[in-house]
Amino acid sequence: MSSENQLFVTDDEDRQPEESIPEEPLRVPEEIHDNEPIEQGDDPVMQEFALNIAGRDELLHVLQYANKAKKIGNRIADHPFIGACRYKPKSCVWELDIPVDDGAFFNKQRAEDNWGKADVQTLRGVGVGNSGQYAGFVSDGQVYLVPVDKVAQLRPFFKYIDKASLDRKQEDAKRNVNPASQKSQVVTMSVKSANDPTQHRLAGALLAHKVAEEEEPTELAWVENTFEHFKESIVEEANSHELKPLGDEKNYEENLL
Amino acid sequence: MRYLEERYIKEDKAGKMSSGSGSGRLPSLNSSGGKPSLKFKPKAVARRTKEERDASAPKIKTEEISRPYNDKKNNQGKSTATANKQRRMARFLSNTRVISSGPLAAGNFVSEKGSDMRRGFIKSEGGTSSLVHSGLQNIEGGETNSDDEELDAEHGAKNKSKFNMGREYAVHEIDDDNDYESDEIGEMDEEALQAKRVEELFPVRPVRIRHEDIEVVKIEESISDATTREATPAVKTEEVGSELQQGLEQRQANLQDRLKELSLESQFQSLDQNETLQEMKSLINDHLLIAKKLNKINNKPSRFILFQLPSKLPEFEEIAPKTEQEPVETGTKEESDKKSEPIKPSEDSLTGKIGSIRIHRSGKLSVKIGNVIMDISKGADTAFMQDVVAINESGETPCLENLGRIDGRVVVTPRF
Repeated sequence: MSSENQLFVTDDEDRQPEESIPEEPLRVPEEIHDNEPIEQGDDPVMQEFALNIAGRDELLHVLQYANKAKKIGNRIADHPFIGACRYKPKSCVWELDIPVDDGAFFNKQRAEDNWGKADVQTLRGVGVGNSGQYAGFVSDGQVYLVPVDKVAQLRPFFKYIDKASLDRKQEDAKRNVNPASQKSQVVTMSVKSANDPTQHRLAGALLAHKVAEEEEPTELAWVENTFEHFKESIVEEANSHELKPLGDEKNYEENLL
Repeated sequence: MRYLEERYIKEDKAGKMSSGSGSGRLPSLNSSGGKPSLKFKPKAVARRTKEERDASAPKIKTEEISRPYNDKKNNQGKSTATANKQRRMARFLSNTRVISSGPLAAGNFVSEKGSDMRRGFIKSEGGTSSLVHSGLQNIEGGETNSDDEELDAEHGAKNKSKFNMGREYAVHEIDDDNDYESDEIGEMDEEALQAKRVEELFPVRPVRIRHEDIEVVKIEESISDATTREATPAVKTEEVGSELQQGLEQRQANLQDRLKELSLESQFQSLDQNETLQEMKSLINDHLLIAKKLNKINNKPSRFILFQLPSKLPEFEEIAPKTEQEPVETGTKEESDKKSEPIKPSEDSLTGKIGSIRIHRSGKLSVKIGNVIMDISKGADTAFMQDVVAINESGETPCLENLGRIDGRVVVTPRF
């Protein structure tokens, strides 16, 4: 054990000994492999970041704020305040409410008159699954990869405008209760009833829309400053498992094909 | 006799010409042929006036701005000439107007004040009075204290003032170096805060490209001067540095030979050595950046890099969890393996150390997952913010944990 430890220290100085202990059995054959002239030639390895995978039971999502510049997220304090968060697990629809800063460039009167306050910017997006995506953080010179469940791109969703136009339509319909409009309504009804027996089930995008509309969203509370806790649990989980690689490059390639 | 005959014939011909074709210029001078020429002249005039009337009648309606200009000219004409002349002036002007609004609009004698909107569209760059121009000046001059101005100042020379809405949009490029330094900036004054607010509201700003047609012409002139001046020293340097040139060429040749040996063309699918070289440079640059980022992010809270690993990873087998048999860890490993049959974790449940990212002396990076060595490269960067969140439904109230933001993307690909 001590000899292995020495070997390790010479190659990788900044690794902490407590982290190195679990990795030792794997590390030794690796280093022998690295020094092979065929593989590396005259380009020795100077520094290594161990790659760990953990957090299989975490439900990690990536939220992309399409309308927020990357610069804004630089500091945690700059992160836009999330007032409310809704998620529909079945249809993977995200909805975030960000309170609008009504101090600048905001016409309070107009917002209240036309759109019923509209003091919240709603970001909406659909989570898309993708294999092979991991969110990685680095701790003590080791990279920890946590699989990402879904990636969602959030874009402004102008619900209040839709609502306003719907209201207007309904008002118009109420106001024009003339025979012409009523007649047309009757016609549409009859068409519907005639179509119903032969109508196919909703498919594809229509079905997805219907599912999303009918699903009740789960209200989620936005919590911050949980990274340290998350990190600890992931590191612990990664260290509690030990993996031994099977097969070599050829086997892998064959497996891929 | 012959000569006389010829002369006679000539005169005859001239007479025929003047009478036959009305376009001759002589007829006006010719008193005898005045009648036939007069016959033709009014015809030509009448034709012109019809055309012009047709052309000018709608034009006057549309060009409201140009009217006063015409009137002015007409007034001037009135003072000097008859009513007939007046008409001619108007015709003349309307003719020029038509040409000036077409593709030959370049050198127009009409002053800018009198230019109508249609022409203004074409040569607005030169017009000092146009709104667009003054707006551009504001943007460049920095005299106004608008919020936009502060923003521009904040971004500094990076986003140089260019104005062309059609072409492209500047995305706020953030240098990786500045990225982290900005974390440490604690306080912000009021102006910066305001600018930030604007930034948040209008995150995308157009790249401003200023059209400078007139100045371009000037530059062309100066270029012609400059080239004649620079041409001589260029010749000199060739003479002096011929040895150096040779050395350089030799080195280049050596390098290209080496590149050929490496036979990287097939790998990068590039056309020639230069492209391969470029590709390699950018690759090494990417590697350096990734290494830098990894080192920077080390032990920093709430910072993630998005990794894309091959969807199928090399196979692993899990050695029984260490926590249960810690005292007999290394020594009796083989025995324990035999005793408890190693579990082959599926791709979805793989947990533990799978490999490492290795930084080589040359600056290159490679990733070793299991026993397989893979390439690593930088993924496309995004201009927008990305958060990593975790849904936590275990507690009393389900919550969404904001774990941090994503800072770059890395793609790991297997080598073939």
